[in-house]
Amino acid sequence: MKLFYTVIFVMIGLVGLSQKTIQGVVSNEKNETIPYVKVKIINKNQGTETDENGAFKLMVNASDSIRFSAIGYENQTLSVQNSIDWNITLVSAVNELDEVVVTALGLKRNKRDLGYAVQTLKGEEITEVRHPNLVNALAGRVAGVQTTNGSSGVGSSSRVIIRGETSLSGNNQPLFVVDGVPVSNEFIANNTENLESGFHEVDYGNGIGDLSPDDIASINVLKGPSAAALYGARAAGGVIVIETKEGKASDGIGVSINSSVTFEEIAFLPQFQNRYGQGAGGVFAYEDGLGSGIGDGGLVSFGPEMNGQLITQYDGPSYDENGNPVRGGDVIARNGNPITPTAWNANPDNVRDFFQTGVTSQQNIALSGANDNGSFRLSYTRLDNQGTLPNSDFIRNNVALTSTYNFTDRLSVRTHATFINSSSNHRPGLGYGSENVMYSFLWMGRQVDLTAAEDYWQAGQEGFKQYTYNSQWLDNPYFNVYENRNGFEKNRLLGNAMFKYEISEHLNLRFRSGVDTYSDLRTSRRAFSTQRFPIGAYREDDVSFTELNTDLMLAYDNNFGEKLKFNAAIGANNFTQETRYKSLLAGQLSVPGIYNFENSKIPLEASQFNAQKQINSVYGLTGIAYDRFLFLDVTLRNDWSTTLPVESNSFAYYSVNGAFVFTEKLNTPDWFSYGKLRVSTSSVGSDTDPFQLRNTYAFNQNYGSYPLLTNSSILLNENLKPERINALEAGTELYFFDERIGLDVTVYQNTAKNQIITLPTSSSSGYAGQVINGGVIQSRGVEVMLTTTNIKKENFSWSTYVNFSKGASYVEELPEGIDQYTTGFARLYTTAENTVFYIADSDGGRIGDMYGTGFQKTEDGRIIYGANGLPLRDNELRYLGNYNPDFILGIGNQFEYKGFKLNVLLDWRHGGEIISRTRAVGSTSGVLAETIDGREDGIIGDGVVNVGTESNPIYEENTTAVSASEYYNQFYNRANEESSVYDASYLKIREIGLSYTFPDRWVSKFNIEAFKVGFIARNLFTWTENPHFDPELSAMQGTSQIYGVEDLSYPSSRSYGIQVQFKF
Amino acid sequence: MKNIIIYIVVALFFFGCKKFDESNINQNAPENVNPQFLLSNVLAEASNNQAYWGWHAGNLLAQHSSNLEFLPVDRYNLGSNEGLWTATYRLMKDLKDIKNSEQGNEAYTAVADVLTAHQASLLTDLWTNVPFYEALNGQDEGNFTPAFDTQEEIYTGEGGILDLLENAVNTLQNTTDRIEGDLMYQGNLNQWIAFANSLRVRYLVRISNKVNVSTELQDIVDNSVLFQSVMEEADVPYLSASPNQWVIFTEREGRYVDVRMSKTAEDILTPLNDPRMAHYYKPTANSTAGNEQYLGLPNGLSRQSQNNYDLSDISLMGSFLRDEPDAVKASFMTYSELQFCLAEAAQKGLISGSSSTYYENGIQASFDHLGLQMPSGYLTQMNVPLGSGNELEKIMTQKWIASFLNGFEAWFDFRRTGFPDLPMPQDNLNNNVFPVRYAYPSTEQAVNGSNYSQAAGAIGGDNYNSKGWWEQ
Repeated sequence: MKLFYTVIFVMIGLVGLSQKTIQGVVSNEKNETIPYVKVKIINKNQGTETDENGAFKLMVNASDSIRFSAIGYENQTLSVQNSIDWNITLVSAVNELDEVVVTALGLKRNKRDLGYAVQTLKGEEITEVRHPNLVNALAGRVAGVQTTNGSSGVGSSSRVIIRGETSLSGNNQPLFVVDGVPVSNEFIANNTENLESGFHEVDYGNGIGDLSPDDIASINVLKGPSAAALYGARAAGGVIVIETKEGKASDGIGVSINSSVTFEEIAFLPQFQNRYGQGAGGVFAYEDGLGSGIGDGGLVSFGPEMNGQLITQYDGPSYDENGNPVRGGDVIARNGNPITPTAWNANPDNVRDFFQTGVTSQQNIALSGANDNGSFRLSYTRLDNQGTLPNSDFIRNNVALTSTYNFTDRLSVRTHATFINSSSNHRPGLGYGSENVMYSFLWMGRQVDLTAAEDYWQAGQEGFKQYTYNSQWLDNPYFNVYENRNGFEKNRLLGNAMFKYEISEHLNLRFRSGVDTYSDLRTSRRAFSTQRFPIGAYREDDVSFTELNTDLMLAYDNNFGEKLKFNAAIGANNFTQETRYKSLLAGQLSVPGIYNFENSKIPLEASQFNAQKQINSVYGLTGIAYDRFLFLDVTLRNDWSTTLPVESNSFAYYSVNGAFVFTEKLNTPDWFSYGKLRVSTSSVGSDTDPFQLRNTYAFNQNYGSYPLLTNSSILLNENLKPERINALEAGTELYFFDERIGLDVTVYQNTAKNQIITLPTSSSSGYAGQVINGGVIQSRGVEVMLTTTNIKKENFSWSTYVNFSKGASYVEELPEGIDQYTTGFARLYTTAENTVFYIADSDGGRIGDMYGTGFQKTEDGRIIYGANGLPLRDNELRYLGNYNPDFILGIGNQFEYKGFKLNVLLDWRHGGEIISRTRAVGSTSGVLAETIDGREDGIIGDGVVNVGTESNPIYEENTTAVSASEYYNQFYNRANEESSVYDASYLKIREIGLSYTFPDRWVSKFNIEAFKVGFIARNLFTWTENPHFDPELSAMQGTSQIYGVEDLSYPSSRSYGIQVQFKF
Repeated sequence: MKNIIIYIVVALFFFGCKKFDESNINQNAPENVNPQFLLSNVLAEASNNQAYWGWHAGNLLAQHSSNLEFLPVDRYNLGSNEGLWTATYRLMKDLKDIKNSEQGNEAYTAVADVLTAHQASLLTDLWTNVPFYEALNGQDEGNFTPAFDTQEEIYTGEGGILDLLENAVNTLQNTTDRIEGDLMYQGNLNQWIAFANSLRVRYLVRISNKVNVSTELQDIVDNSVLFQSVMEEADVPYLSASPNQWVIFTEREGRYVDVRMSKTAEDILTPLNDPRMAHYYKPTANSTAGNEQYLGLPNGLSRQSQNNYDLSDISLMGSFLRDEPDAVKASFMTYSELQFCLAEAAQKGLISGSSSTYYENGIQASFDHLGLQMPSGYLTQMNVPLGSGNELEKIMTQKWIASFLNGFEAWFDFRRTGFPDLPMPQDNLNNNVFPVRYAYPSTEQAVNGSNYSQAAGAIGGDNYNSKGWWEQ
């Protein structure tokens, strides 16, 4: 290339116009010289580039304009006439794709060298609109990444899946790595089964949500197994590499303050009907909420139309034995005295008004400094959240210290430590049952005025008896959130240290060790008269977790001649993880209001589980770069995991990645700035959880003094082999028109073999599931990232980024001896009665296909009704939909005008289905808006009746009218999954950020380096088929998150607020 | 220098190896256990299933009680009851492990066989054809898709219910081995013999429409040890302390008030002036002291139809079922049931002896079981004494009264004999047909599909109305 230019220059020189030679050095803000900067004469196909030391020399005309461009930096254009000094400083590009990315093992690489897809988010992008949970910052911004949120607001778990689900069994979560050391993103749930009289599931948040976005310098998403191969077993789902911020040099101590306050409003609530109140068949009278009135222990709203007529109600006036006024629901004090009937009116906003405006405050202050010998950065972040659900909150304090120090020219050290304390007074109960307030609302009569319920004890019964509108089934929601609290306090330390010793110019040794340790104490209190705990309860769940990673690496790096660059490294790694879980339960209490095990009325119930795991590894890698256009990387790794049988606990990985920057070699047109092709292949292995090999018996609660033990319900497997994923990936990166248009396209194929999966089995085999090495599953997909700078004027710019991904996985080969691949299930109700099965049909079935029961239908798909006018069900499993999306599209637009910056991020998920418990329950109970039809005249269901025989059916149009309550009760029968399916597609305005950066000339007067204020909004609007809930939210059942099923989710919220950033 | 580095790499690796081999040994639970703990588990769990399902389904299907809101069984929308299916097979796996773990101990094997027979009968009587002979072989043979056996094979085949019981009796009569963990009989093998023989009587009578059981029954009556009194019946009481309390005691209010006295019970018990009515049920809320009213709600009413009744005029279930943790005894089989089985057998001429004596013993035993006094003259009032016609109906009616809360026994008897003459629930969702089985769990469709399809075809369709072998 150089030769080519030189020849041209010489030729031009020979022509001998009014030319002169300019020369200088190009450097960056840190005064480091930048090699290979393109120096081009605008509108002429002439130019050069800077050498290794950033120097250049170029023959120019006086009328020329010269443009300096380098990836990762803003372009700079100077006219020859006006410029004297050709020592140029290029400013780092804020929003362009950075050239340096952090890859596996913390290796910093030039992006152009890589043969696989990496996407980078910088700290500024993450904090532009700060999300309380770091994971959410990825949504819409990174192609191929899908995030889902827990439904209990700030502090709940956010899941992220890269390139769909490769593993059927695992949680498919990527590995999170902070400063080169893996950290835990696991959420170890309480051991609950949500049985009739048990505790509900509670989401205490995923591990990565503990990090403060303000401490993050960059996030690099390594999407495929190739990129992640060096991380070994745990990286099969991709790797998210997080680098923490380091101190920067400034005058004195640099101070930055980032402060935001947002307000959360509920954005989604079931749409209720407001014409008919509680009762069945149009009548109602409250007496004690236990059925003594008319329908007052009932759960349905097919009662009297709400026209202001007088009816006895739970908040109607009455009096006690002394004649003092009490409420109708003060049943004990009232002792049978009559309730004065009150107006029977709609309370359309009764549920909405129960929720409050949440407030989230995130405050960060960071001090930093640096000199030639080292740097430090000390940062404190506090997050305070008051949830939209009354009394629910989340508080997090992060103290982070990062320091670097150069002991000698050769020995340097970098340490990072974050201490995190997070806690909550109350985390909402999830799932189906009386501990979820949404359950209370979906079964609550629509006439209920909740104002009176705020005073939630019955008169004279404080601490003993709650005051509620339905004593038979429902907890007063205020009682629920203020008395029955699920609190926690978690202390976590993340720390890592890296020593780097330069043995010679070309050889260095790195030793890195990191720890991630936490203890999490969860306390669950239940007051007397709680539906599930009539005599109260107290429970503690204690989780402690420690993970250590130690890594030693010897790296070599050299150039051979002008063109050949070579690097290689070998290393070894040890990983140990220990989990200890313990829970104690006092299932009944002696004295109300005292939550202490000494107050237990009955023997304590205990449960305990300790597990540990180790992986030892050795690895090597090598990279060759030829003439800055051809790149080849090879990595090898071998792991030994304790979780696999000794004879198969060793497994190897490799990856080979190549890249070809063809614009360096081909004579591409001027507008074609950069073009690269990349291809990679890899094969990675994976182990499993501890204790998957040999069966043990499980302890059951004693019967009196007899200890009980029973079989475990899953048959383990002593012959497990490691999982294996073979991946192929190819892609291209193209930039046009001076990088104003960038396009990155990746296609991939992952083939997973021997997946370790707990396969559900017939319990008549003695086990409900068996651990096996599964069949072959193939995932294919495409990811497209498009960035465009649409307008770029001196004062105004508009740029757009688009992230698109589409992928699906199919079963290629069934496991041995299995002819029907049922990979899992989600219980839609506590009992096994209502189950959605995930069945991957061998005949083209897609992973994520859901099956359940539904209506009896004719061949042409019409519902068959019985002679009684009610739809008939059968027990045959049928296809309901697939929980995976067809594609995901994120579109971001950024506008800048002088100091103003506007960001708008849209997130579109298209396709997929979700089965809704809210729909089933709310339709059965008649509270949802769509159940208003047919209340007066009954409903003639659309379908046919069989007037023939079973074997010889004759179908006639159904003409039998049934009452609305009977119709909806049967149509939305909870064993009928088919009637509660919604399209899960949605389009969201995920983020809007509007900020203003005050000009330097203003702020410098106040000795302020930078000052920025902004308005931020998240989750502003959602468009989706169903009017009742946010389909993005995930559900939790038992100890795991489940897919494709909505389980009385809490309303999601939209938030908006202000953000202020200072730098001194 | 390079050598040192290599040493460090190697050392690091081996340092990590130190406890490497031990770290995957699960220290939380044992890999092998003494069978006594498994036996205790089966007795506690299986007996609890009897009473639990007696409340939640058996009593409703037999119309001892009726339901307001949450138990679709009462409107004959039975579903599959997969929970009980799974629990039962899991207990049968525990029983299998008892037999495998101490090959030398015949007593454990025999006791496990008695309980296996009981659990198997529950399965086939609730779901008709079910996996039995190929079942529970996931671990030993890798068979995770067992075939379904016919009800006839399960009852009468070699290794089937009756065979297991007979062999168990023979073993127990001759063994010197002992068992522990027996929270029902405290290791008294004679009582296990009586229990096993009593179960044989129950099941022989159950299949007596299909098989001539006369000789075998007569032989048992003549030569075998049977329950002699309520002291020997197969009960496991609930305890005063959690976690062994009667489930409705700890449940939310709704689970209790949602279940009511049935109109059927009112119609049967009121004319008999039966004191068991005041035990099983509470006086209505509207009744006054001294003039207690016991009124029932018809089974299977829609919410709308329930509006025709004032729930203050409908009885709740008896206070021993709500207010006391340990007043309920979970029964596998009672002495009174045995007596009614013999009364039926004698009445049908399957055995010799006085039907009336067995019958009257059965009534007395039911009162004894509940700790109640039988009023004088109870046995001689109208519609009680045998000999005046409708013998079978009288026997089955008294048996029905005694079978309150005892699993599904009264429903099985109704399906077999049609007595007592239960009214068809008005708002049933089963086309005015009394259901005779649960649907198969949908998991069987999902994971044992071809055997499921075969079984569904064999019984005449996986619906609530496909009759089993002994009731055809």
